[in-house]
Amino acid sequence: VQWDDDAYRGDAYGAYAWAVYVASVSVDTATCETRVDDFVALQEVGRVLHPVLAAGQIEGGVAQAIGYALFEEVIWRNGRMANGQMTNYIMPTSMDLPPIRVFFEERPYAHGPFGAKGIGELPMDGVAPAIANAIAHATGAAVSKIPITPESLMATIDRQREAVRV
Amino acid sequence: MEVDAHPMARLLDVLRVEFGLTGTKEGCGEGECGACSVLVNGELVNSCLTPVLQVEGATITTIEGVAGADGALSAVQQAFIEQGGAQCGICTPGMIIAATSLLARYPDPTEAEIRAGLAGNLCRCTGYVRIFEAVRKAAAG
Repeated sequence: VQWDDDAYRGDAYGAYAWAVYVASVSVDTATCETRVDDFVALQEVGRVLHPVLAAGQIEGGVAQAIGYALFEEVIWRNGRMANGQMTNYIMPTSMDLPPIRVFFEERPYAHGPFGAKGIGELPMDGVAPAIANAIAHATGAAVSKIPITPESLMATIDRQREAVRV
Repeated sequence: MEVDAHPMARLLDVLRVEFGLTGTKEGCGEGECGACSVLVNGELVNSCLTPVLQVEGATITTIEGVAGADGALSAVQQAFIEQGGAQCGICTPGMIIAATSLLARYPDPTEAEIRAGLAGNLCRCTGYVRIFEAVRKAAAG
């Protein structure tokens, strides 16, 4: 299906980008704190137009998504965000992130500018699942929501232990 | 330079409003993000948390003062450009001030020293990777 710019009809999403994300994590079994030790992103984004900035987009997206996976809890109270400050809405600092290793698989997209596809959004999608799966692999906890804070992971592990006892 | 300002006015506001030095950015305004970093007598501080009375007679370095008088970029600024250390730009002035301060203290910093030295400056876009590379490149000269 082709996109028709005059009629504004057709396939608006002809070019999905693809990626593989691999996370290596450590979980402190006393505090349930998770640290991402290493992260690899393999991205297929059509043709890479600017290697430095393209890698920067992926690294930044992965960093945001590590925050999304582990730290960034939005607390709603009476329809408003109760923790809308940097003091209590915690995002990753330079101390919280692993090496983020980015690799590109280039497959130029015929209908994109110079063969490019979209690049910035995808790293927000797959990173949290990769981290959740790594935590499940490390701890056996069936993690089903994010952010996976120490409190929520401890509650999940405790619930599972209770269920086994019963 | 002299200015008449309320003693409790934030250094950040005095720099931006009285002196027109708008390179220093307000991020959070509560001392968490480091976007407003400046050097006071060579010490790295958050200008949003500094009442102007505390800097009477002090030497303040803002991002406007990092390049040479002839406009030549500092090694840190040049490295940020080459390594892609800036994306949206809001953290960049503070990040460059913090990196400049870090390299003054640790001319050949380790990875851990770079991470610790920039931990008071939040960046949402880059994931810090390119900023670390820029600091390493500036250190290498």
